[in-house]
Amino acid sequence: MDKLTTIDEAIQEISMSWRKTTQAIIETAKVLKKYQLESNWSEIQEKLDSENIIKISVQKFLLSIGNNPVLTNEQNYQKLPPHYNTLYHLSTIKSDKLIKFINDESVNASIPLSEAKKLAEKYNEKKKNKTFLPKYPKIVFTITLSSTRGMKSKSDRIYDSLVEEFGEDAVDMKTYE
Amino acid sequence: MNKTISELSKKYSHIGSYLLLTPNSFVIFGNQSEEVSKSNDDMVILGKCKYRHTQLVINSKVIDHKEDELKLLNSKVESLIESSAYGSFLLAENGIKKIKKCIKNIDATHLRIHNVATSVRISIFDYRQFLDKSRIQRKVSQKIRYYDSDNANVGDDFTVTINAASFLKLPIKDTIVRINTNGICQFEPIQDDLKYLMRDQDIIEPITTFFSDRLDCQISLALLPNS
Repeated sequence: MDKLTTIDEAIQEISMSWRKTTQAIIETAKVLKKYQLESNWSEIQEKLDSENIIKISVQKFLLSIGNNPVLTNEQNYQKLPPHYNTLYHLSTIKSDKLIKFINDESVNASIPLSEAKKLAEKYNEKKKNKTFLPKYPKIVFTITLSSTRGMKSKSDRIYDSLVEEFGEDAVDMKTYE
Repeated sequence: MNKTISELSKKYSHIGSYLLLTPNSFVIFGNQSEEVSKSNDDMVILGKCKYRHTQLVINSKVIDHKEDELKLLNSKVESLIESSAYGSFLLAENGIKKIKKCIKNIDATHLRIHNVATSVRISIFDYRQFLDKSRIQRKVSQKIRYYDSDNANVGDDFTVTINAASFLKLPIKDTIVRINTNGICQFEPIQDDLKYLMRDQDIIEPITTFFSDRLDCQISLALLPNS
């Protein structure tokens, strides 16, 4: 066997074994998730912590990993880093975005913790609150009056007639003095 | 004053003035306020500490009370977390920040946490605006804002409504939220060994009620707000 083949084989064997770390972390996360909704969950948590098996903070990291549908997809294991800290930060990214990051390789097996953290923070900041109210086209009228005298009664009259026509929820009024 | 008492009383003074200490744990009870919108008496914090006795402390002063009764009270509080759960999800630091901002912006009174299939939605709303009697007319629209999390473990359908004033007391940290089947919502910040418990307020924003006749008559089918 020549030297090159030996190196390649060694790297393949080592990397295969190393990648199993990712799988082991995610599989453990899935097992925790399985028990998380049980009535004796707090006792399980305490025992794992007191017997130095998994600290409570690490359990919570793992739960977040286990609850992320992208990270728990076996097809992605190979593309993910073998560190629970890094995986945790990736788990806070919404699924559709995380899939995109995995596909464009922004998220890969060697992504450092700082990068994953930055990615999660950057993405989370971009999210915006949405509202249930659908966005309809709007019409804005501006009426300029020569004086403030009778302004309130005039604006109330206009407001009332618009409400009669379009309904109260459709009309908004602002006055500027 | 004992160091543990002074430290805990000071650290959690914004939550409540009643502190129950036991040899291995402490409990803080939320305060009732004269202003209903600022009350957080539906909230309890459970934490760990080392202390020699079982005592009740009110406003940093130890109150004489039967130890048996205090132990019973402590066991009742602890039983609140010994419950199975409908689901659990991650509420990231940024999510908490945004929800708190939204509560302040729309002067919300409640938050409803419910599942939408396998993900979780948090609707933030001002319940007063849905009440016919107290509804402020003109210019004020009935806003409901929501926040979604798909980092969730949903075992069964659920809906739980919590007090916005209590939510404002939560620290801005990544938090695991567990929706217990006993009507308790459990918030556990990832980096702290603390549990913030809040009780279900059992109300739902009535978005199927339309105050505009025109809008009402144009809608033939309205979905219930539990989906």
